[in-house]
Order: sequence, then C-alpha cells, then structure tokens
Amino acid sequence: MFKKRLIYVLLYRNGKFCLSRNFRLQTIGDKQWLFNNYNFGYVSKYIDELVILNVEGESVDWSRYFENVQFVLDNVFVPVALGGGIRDLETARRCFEVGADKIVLNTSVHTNPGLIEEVARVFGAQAVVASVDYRREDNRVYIENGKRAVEDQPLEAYLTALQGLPIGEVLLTSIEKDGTGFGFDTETIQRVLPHVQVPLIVAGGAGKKDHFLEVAHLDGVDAFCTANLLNFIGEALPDTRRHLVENAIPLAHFDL
Amino acid sequence: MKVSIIDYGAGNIYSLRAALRKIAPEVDTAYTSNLEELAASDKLILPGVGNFSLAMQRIEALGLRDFLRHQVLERGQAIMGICLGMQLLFEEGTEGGIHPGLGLLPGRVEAFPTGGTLKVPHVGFNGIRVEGDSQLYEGVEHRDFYFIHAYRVRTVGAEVAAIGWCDYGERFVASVEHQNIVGTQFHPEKSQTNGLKLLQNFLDRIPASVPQASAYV
Repeated sequence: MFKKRLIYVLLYRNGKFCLSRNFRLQTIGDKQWLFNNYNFGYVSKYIDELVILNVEGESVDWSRYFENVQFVLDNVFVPVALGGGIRDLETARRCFEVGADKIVLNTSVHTNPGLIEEVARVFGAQAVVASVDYRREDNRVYIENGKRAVEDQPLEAYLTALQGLPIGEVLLTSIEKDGTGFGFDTETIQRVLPHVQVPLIVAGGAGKKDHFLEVAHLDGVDAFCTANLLNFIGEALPDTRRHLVENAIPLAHFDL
Repeated sequence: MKVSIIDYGAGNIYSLRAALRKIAPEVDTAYTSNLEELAASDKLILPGVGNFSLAMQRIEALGLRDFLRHQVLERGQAIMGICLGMQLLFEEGTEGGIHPGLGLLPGRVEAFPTGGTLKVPHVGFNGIRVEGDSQLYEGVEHRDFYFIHAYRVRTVGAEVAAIGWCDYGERFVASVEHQNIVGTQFHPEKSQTNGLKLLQNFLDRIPASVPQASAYV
C-alpha cells in the first residue's frame, strides 16, 4: 500500500545542468543536451518523482530557472519539487505556478523557519520538503550549498527540531558521499531514522543498483535519489528499478 | 478536436496542458472561462486544487454552475474532473460547512479521518482496483496513480458504469465513470505513462452523450 520512491535530482546552475561531487559543481549540458543527448525523456519514465534544484546560490536568475524547469516539465509527468535559493513566499509561489508540487527549502529552514510556516499555510505542509545537508566527520548540518556549518547543534538535534515545523518530508544528503558513487551513508541514515517522523528521502552516494537496494530495505526510508548525470546512464536506471522490484521493494508500476 | 480546461482560478495546470500537448499535439487545447468557447469544445476538463467551497464560489461567480449542469446533463458534453475537480462533480462538499457542488453525480465529499496512524493528506502513488465497465482504464495495464488530497468520496450514490477504488485505511472512490461524466481523484498528469494513457482514453473513448439512467439527482 505504501510505495517507496526512486527520485531523480537535477542540479541546475546558470542555464546548465550539473554534476556535483562533495558539493563541487561541474557543468555538463543544457536542456537540449539533457533531452537530446542524455535522453532524459526516456530515463524519466523510470522515476517516481523529480527534483530540480537550483544550485546557483544567492544571485539567481529565477526567470531563466523557471524557463528551464518548464522545458523539463513539458516532457516529464511525475510530481516535481523545485527549490534552491528560495528565501521568500513570493518565489515559493512562483515555483508552484510553474508546475511544482512541492518546494525544497534548505538554508531558509535554519535562517527563517517562519517561511516554512508561511508556505505551509498557503500550500499545505505536504508541499514543503526540508533539505538537510550534513557532514559525517563533524556530524553537523551545512547550509548555503554546504558552505556554512550550523555550529550549535549536531545532526540529530537539528532533525529533532524540524519536527516542530509544518513540513511534509526531509531530504537528507551526505556531503561527503555526494557524487562519489561509493554508496549511501547507510550508517548515519540508520542512526538518525528515529529522529525523523515525516517521510525521509535519502541522497548522496548512489553509484550502482545495489546501493539503492541497501537503503530501500530500511524501514523509515521512503525514497532514495540519484543526482549524478553520469552514474546511471542508458539502461542503468531502468535496470535499477527492475532490480528493486525483483527484490520486493514496493514501487509503483508504470506502463511502458 | 477541441478540449477546454475550465479556468476558474484553480491553480497550476501547467503539467495538465503539457500532458495534453504530449499525447495529442493535434488537439486544440484552451484554458478559459468563456462560456461560448467552453460550449464549442468537444470535451471539458475541470481541474482543481484547494478548497471546495472557495472553488464553488468562483464557479458560481463565473456562471459556470448552471452552464455546466446544462452542458453536461442536457447537452451531453463530455467532462473530466481531476482531483478537486472530481470532487466538485458531486452533490456536496463538507470542507468548512456543507456546500453544494455541481451535482452531476450523487455523493458527498468528506475529510479523511485524522488522528489515526495514517497521514492526512494522502500523498503519493497508490494502486486502483476498477469495478465495472471502464473506458478510462482500457489498455492501462498498471494502475498506480499519484494522489494528493485530504478529502474523498466514499461512495457514489447510484449505479455508474465504473468506479476505481483505492485503499487508504479505508476504501474510497479514486475514479468514477458515468457515460459522458468522468472524474479522477488522482492526477493523471503526474502519473507517468499510466496517467497519459488514461488521459488519452478520455480523449478517445469518452463520448458526448446525454447521461441516461440512475446516476444523478
């Protein structure tokens, strides 16, 4: 009855889609490349949800971002979360207007939790994804695209504090595993599970299909992401989906 | 063919329009509240997210309630309601007091019970079991669809051609088909290929017809 989700995260910066490794970005290609060369129209038939994260930081050309988002949404028919750099209700509203089902908040979660309250009041708590980037070495949460540590509390305390806010989901990303393809930070994920009461999406480290299987088996992990344009090319994502289904992970079935 | 999405300020229809463009690029799609344009369309889609009574207020203010009842019940225009749009097809909603809906189908829209173990709203892909003679699901092999809603219809108060049932702690109506009137509680435009096929079936298989028999009030 409850289905788990395989999520694709597209990282967008300055008119292009990017690879990220430990939050260092490398530009790969534009929207034409994404569909004509990468064949995202095909790949996206094997995902349950799409996240398009703007990783430009503070100086965001929102119109251009939305133009790119809509190009993608002309061809992909799954629930979509948009975010990155959202600092006010007006920008959140524009995200919903261009087709978002949810928005992703990260830095604002820490610096302006009132924004979460506002967004939830207008669009519902289910439409708010709290994104949490962390490092295992110091067990701290990092905001501003992984640049600034939240000094005063460890990861578990940060997650616990989130429970007081009207959020629909938590997106938990390991900065150290990000883009490595070495596998998810399963140890940390397992440790923090009791601190997350809403559906948990995990990200960072997926490099092969068994990496997904490892976290998909965990009770309390509702969804798992890849954000790596090069780790799952061609048939790799379709294969991953089949592999998860064969191993009794409850995923939605799509007509192909 | 011309398909009009009814514009009553009900929010985001980007993906719905994109889905129609994708499956039927030759179809002329409009987003309008102009009654003449709606009347001249082959099919209507009633979208919607948000609050039942606010939506009905807007629909009334635009003169759409009587118009749609006439078009659908007397002239037989095909209509598909999606999410809140499906709920509005029924007689009444109970969000913030009892409010009349379009009354094209008998039934009422009520909140999921809260306080239990299941989260409300119901969000995510869920499976459907179809009962009856369905046109909408013809050739749709896999019946998982994307839901996001806090209110639901538990029973349709008369014989209809087909009902899609979904389970979320209890059985509720995920889709309904009665001749020219169809509705889905889920979002076909967010439900991958399953949803695109279902929208295609609405375009191809749901005829204009003056509804007969026992379905409405």
